[in-house]
Amino acid sequence: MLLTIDRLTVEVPGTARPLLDEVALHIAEGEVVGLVGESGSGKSTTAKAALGLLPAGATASGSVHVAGADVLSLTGEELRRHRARTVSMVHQDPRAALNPVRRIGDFLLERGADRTRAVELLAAVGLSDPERRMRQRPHELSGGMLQRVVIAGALATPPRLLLADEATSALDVTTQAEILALLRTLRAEHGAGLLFITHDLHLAAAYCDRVYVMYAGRVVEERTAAALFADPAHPYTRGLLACSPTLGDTPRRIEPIPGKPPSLSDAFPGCPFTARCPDAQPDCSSRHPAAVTLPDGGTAACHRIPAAVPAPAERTAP
Amino acid sequence: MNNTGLLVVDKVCKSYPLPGGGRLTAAEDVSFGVAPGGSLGIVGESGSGKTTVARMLVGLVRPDSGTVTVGGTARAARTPGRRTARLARAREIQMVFQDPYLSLDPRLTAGQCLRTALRLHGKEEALAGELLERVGLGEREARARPRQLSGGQRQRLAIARALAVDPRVLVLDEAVAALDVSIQAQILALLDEIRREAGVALVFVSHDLAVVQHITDDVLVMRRGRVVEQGPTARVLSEPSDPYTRLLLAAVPREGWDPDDAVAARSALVEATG
Repeated sequence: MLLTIDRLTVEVPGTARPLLDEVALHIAEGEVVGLVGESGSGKSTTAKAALGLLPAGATASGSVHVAGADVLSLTGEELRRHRARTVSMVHQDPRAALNPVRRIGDFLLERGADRTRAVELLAAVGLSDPERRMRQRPHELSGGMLQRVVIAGALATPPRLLLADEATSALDVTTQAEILALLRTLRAEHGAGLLFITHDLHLAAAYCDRVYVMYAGRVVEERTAAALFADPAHPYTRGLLACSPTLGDTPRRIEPIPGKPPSLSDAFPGCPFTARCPDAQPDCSSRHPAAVTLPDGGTAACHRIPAAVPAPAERTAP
Repeated sequence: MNNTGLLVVDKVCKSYPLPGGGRLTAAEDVSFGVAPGGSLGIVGESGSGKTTVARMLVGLVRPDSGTVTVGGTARAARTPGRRTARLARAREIQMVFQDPYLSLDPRLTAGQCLRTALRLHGKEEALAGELLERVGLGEREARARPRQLSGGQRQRLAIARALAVDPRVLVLDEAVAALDVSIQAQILALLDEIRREAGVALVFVSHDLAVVQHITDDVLVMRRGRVVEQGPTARVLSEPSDPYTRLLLAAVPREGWDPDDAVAARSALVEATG
């Protein structure tokens, strides 16, 4: 496995619940894995943990391994090397990653590419006239072009794992499609793993091999993309699919999920989705559901799902 | 469809001078009409001119030529100086922006914000509670300032403030784009209800074709300031006649989607039109 996150719990002082609660996630080499959830669900915190980057004052338990290295125990030169070589991250806003007074070329040279390689990279991410782009400054390029520059920077030293945190959310859908096609080619060429974070379940299910759905700091469902469309198991996943409009011949009613996504000041003794769940039973709010393995190999954490392989904790629970 | 309806836009144009000569055409000969309780979508990529059109409707951008008519009376190019005329103009069209944070006064609580708007238009301030309830905000939110509200709550407040003056047309510029999907669905349901119950006409500017299909009857596809296709939403999105509309559709993720389709559609478009 390229990335293995095992029962990672991250807590910061002053909040009612952990940012991440026993998150388990893995990515194989060359795999595209989606991470979906609403604001505050812990998607970005999970991705940053792969860089060994936890929020200030946070305490963590569990483990994060990337290509065999125990990320949370790395320090000094090893941690710098890990962040520079092994893992790269692309954020939503490219302007925040680029120094506005430095040239595009400087951005790539800083990341360890030489001049020839930098021009090659700009051409590889689909920018026209790469020689001229090298001399331009960020304000001369559009958001879509800058995002390509940032991706070129992330690939300057080909990473084993690429983290894309809402990397295409601010772009036009057409530009988004082009960037996604590009990322997929690059993955095929370098064999890198890709963690694709988005709030758009339809996009994740259409683009990724496997998808994790997060809610209130927990993974509530993990499925292959095809299974997610065909037969979503967790009520939250079903709710997300039912409330997002889709293009189709027969327009269907969208059904909003009542309530709002939980904030960090909401604590949950039981299933965090209980208050918004159409299938909730009285006992849902009193104990945490354990993840159960579904017949197709995916997992879902819901008391109402009959387990194909019942987890031991489920049997002994009152 | 151009000569009927509550909101009639006839051949509006807007261009801006470019540094070093030449002009950028932001909108050229854009015409459409929206019936009471009707809903029109404007779609296109960034820079296509959809926001310019929306801003011309409310008067934030003055058209070079063309007219905007609401309920039979043309809107003056300039905001009238007289207070009553200005307020009457405000009651014709209201606008909701993408980032409600920038259009709400940070010092006013949600309740004060609505009461100010109601008082200005000579309405009962007691209606504020009703409006808040209508958009799904409660007692606690009424006492909160914009900073203490979430993005979805701020957007509801912006919609409630627009509705406070009882507008005939509501223009929404990417108003649900920044929201979480579950909140977006709630806002869409709310807009649907406003439209059906109050007969408010909606102009919905968005890059999201799935949302546009859901909420609009007619659609206008814009590219580089020009309308490349317009008609009933169901027809335009199922049988697009323009290659640009086909590109936009190919870029929408769905089951079995391949981003390469959009790349191919882009090449086809560039070959056809440059």
